[in-house]
Amino acid sequence: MGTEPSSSPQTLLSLKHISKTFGGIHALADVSFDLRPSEVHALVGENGAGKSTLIKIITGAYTADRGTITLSGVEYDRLSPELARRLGIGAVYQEFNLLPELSVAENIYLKSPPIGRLGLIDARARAQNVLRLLERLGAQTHIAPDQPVKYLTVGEQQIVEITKALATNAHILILDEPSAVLPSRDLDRLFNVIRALRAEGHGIIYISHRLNEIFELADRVTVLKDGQTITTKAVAETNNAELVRLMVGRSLTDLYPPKDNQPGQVLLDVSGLCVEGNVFDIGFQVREGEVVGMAGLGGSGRTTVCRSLVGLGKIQSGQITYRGRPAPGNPASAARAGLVLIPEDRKAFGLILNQSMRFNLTLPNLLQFQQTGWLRPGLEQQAVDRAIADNQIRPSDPELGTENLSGGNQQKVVVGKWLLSGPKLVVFDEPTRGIDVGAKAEIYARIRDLTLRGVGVIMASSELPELLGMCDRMLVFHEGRLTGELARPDFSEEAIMRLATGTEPAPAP
Amino acid sequence: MGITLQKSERWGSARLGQAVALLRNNPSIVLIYGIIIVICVVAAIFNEDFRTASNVANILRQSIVIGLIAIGQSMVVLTGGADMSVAMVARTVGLVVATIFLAANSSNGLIVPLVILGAGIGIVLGCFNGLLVTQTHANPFIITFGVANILRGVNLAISSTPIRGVPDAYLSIYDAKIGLVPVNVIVMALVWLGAWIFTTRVLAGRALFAVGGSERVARLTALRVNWTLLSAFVISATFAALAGLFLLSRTGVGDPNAADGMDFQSIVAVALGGISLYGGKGSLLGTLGGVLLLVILSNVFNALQVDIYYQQLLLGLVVLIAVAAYKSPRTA
Amino acid sequence: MKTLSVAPKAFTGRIAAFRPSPRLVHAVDWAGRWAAPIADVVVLVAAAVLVPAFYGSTNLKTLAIQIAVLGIVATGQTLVLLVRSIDLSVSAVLALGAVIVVQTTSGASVLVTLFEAFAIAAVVGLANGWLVSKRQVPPFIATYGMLVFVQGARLAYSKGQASGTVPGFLRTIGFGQLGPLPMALLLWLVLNGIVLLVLRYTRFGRWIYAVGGNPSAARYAGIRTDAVVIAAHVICSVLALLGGLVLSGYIGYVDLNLGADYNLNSIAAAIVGGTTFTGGRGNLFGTAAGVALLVLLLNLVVVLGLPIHWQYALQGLVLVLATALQGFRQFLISR
Repeated sequence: MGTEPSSSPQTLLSLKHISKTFGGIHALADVSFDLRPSEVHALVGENGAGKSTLIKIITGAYTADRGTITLSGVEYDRLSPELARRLGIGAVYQEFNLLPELSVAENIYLKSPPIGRLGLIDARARAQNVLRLLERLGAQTHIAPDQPVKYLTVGEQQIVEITKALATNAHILILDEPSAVLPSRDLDRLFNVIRALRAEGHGIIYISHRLNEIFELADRVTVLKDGQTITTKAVAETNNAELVRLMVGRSLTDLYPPKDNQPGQVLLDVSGLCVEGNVFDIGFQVREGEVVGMAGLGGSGRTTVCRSLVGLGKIQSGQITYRGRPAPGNPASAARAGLVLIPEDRKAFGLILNQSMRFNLTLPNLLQFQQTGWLRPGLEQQAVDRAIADNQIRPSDPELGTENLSGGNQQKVVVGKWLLSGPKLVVFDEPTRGIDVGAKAEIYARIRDLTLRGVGVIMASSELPELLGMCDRMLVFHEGRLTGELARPDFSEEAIMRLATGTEPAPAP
Repeated sequence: MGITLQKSERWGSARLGQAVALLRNNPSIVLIYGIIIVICVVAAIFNEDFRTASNVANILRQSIVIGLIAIGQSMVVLTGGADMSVAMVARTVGLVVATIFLAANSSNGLIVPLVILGAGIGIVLGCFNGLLVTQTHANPFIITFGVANILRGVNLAISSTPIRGVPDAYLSIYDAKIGLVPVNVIVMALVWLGAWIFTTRVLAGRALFAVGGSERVARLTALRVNWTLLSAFVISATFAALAGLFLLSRTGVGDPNAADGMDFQSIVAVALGGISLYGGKGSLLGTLGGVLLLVILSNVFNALQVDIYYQQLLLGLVVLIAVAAYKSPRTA
Repeated sequence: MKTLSVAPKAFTGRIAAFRPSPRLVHAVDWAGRWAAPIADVVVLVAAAVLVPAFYGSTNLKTLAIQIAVLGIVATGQTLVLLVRSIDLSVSAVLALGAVIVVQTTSGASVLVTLFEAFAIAAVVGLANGWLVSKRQVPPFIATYGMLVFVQGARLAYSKGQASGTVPGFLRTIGFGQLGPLPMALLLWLVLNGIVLLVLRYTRFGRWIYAVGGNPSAARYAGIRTDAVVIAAHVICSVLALLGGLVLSGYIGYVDLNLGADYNLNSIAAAIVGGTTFTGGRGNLFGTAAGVALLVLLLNLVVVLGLPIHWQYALQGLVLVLATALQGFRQFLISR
């Protein structure tokens, strides 16, 4: 165990015995955490470990079921967003809350700008206030208060968000994966800003997947796993390997159907692929009946690669060969050729929510049911019933609106609609995100089914257990490059994590 | 002070810097004033009537009614909506006031109370529109379109023929001059200035930009979104009412066809002037340009004796080209 | 012990605090769907009670033809609304057709003028669709601009004077009967039937609902969303033209102010009938009920001898109420 959380008057923030349940699932169980002045306290853990929930409790967006929050010596059972703001808690998320057309100064002082004579906004005082704030962060040389936010780079916008928090006199600042949206050259600036804040006495909670950043910046680190605090340690007393070990290391469940068929011909051959300036020099192959996994942390480029396979996203160089021919250039022709992408965000890109299951299941495949220009309900009904049965979609009424389905069943509809077209290669981007265990098992069964029929599968996922359970081979991404390719005998959570966090250098080409 | 001002210094003094920044951010403003200048120069060269001081005064005076309506419309468009009832509001106010004048034997004493009543009608109608939009989350374009039709019925019920009976003293409001300069133009200039200050230096005015830019962010910042929307509609209807009052003074009769087409024209002026129809950006300076352009074009066409139907055709064409050329940054 | 793969939806301040009761959502949704047919019945009953002359044969014929004309235009408007757009230029296209076809009196062949008229309508629809989909112009502004332009063109073309008589075949369609039913009504029923079948049983019909329901998902599914939107606008303009031809056939001469209210009323009819502005929701049965409601109400006003301003007020009121109801319904659904 690490250090015990303290509630001395020295501590800025102290959480004790925090628990939070969502519909029977424990997001957090008996979590303790504390933050000292002049400290950068890193929070690490896999997806689903409970970091976001913890943060939302601190900012007052959620209320804990049990436990207390102590701020500067005063104890609270619950916080509201306004109360948290007043008590000096500020947060910067990956999605910014800025108005691009308005100036930096205006965004920072949106709600209560300094008022001068005649009750008019005193723009000069506002600009000077902003400059002073920026000075404290050391950022005054490259951000001008009167510039519209839309002209700033992402890194500069992020600094504006941090300045917003400062303007409300926040002395506890939460940064949620700040480096996920930054190109590496802006990282130094961000770190300088954070160091400046620390020097002023603020407490910073820094959430990140990138362990090397934590060792560069943080004073202490807390590891969360499965909703529990595993440990809290001084950064100087640990290392990368130990953190990785603490973050993962659970036993695999029996969720995953066994596999033993041999892969067949090469379906997909990718070499030297560079996309959109995010992804560099990617090369791999996928065979019939094979499941190739794509592992990596947020922003490592997996989704970009997946999208590029069906023609979404600008390919700058490299080659994709599908079944011996160049890859199709758009989703429609890709689907016709049997190459299908099941996207990450099913609600935004996968489903027409206000329509029935039948509508959604048949949408890409309407040609199959068409005779002499008209759609035949009989043919359609057969295919729909079959799809619902094959994918174990519940409830099984095809006329039911998809918006009424659970997340798991919605995902099954998305999978089902693409499988109806009889694809040869299916790319799954986060196939089981936000889905209960039962539905997950059913989707895994479906994937296994596909491979038995000779279909090739690519599975990009943030969940190590499912990758380890389902894949024959694993590609590991880190910051837009492939850091490693593992064969099944070499699978281990640690090995993958090490490659994904860049702990191990990429093998020489 | 010891504070580095590197980027601001590059733009020169603060005021000049702001002006340059405004123009740089809003290329449409530069464009529209450029077009105005070109048209004026060409017209002045080729037509001697155009050059006279009285024509200039005329143009400025004609721009008052549409200008008032356009200012109000700008407020609503900035929030991402539109108010299609403005023309009918102007008409209603004119008719109501004229009717009362007639009934009271054109008494002079009623002028001030009736002006206040007119503005009051505008405020009430604006509240009505605003409440409809904020409480039902209905599409503002369509719902004000419907309200306009209801008002159309009301207007016809009041009268389908012109109403005489406006006292002469009221008419003089339109004609008032100091030397050669109409008083109204001066007042209107102050109104424009006041509106511009509201949208640039008053928090309630800036809130319009916030709500139009991103309602989500506006709510998160605890800005009062519903209040802001309501006030936009109230301003719009009130200015439309003032326009109706002024129009009454110009024509001297309660006109059942008053302000015809000014709903669309106000949208055109606002859009041409660079206020995005999705809301959140733009400047009243641009709207002023849009208004002036419309009035000058009309003036030129009349001087050239262009058929009124062709004028309408050209107006539509100009709008279509303008919106086709200016692609909104937001992708569907 | 189970873990979540993703954190639940974010909390956005006070908005999330408002959770409408399921009963309220259900009630409003039901109202959105059944308001028009129920109102129809109410009006029909009220008419029978108040003004028996309402059910006289001449009035019934008038009703039928007015329903047919508004119905044809509203069908097109429904298609456009389904793809998240709107068409305010219908009234101008409607009137334009009449003006062009009337040229037959000065010797031009019927087929040629018909072809001209339909070609122009198609071009207008193409332009509208292009502006809305490829240039992302807000549909309200694009089609309103088109309205002004086409109106100006029409007035300039006819020099503000209505002249010429309506060709014979149009008179037959507009005013003639086939047995007990007016030809116009039959035409509307047939057209409606065709569009209904297309919406339900063709790929294009599915595409319309998909593009309106979720344009991004439609694109991911390989649908060419821009083409669908443009097609919807073309169909709408062509149907508006057709409605104008039938209307002028019915009236018998060219009226300068022809069809000025068809903009508002076609939209109101569709909205009252359950079609939404946000796209992907609505059907022609609802629109038919909405058309009937508007025509019945307006006709009732006339038969009751009420002055014309009641018509305007009523039209506006129906639109306001329908829009308010739909807006509220959408708001509740999105919670």
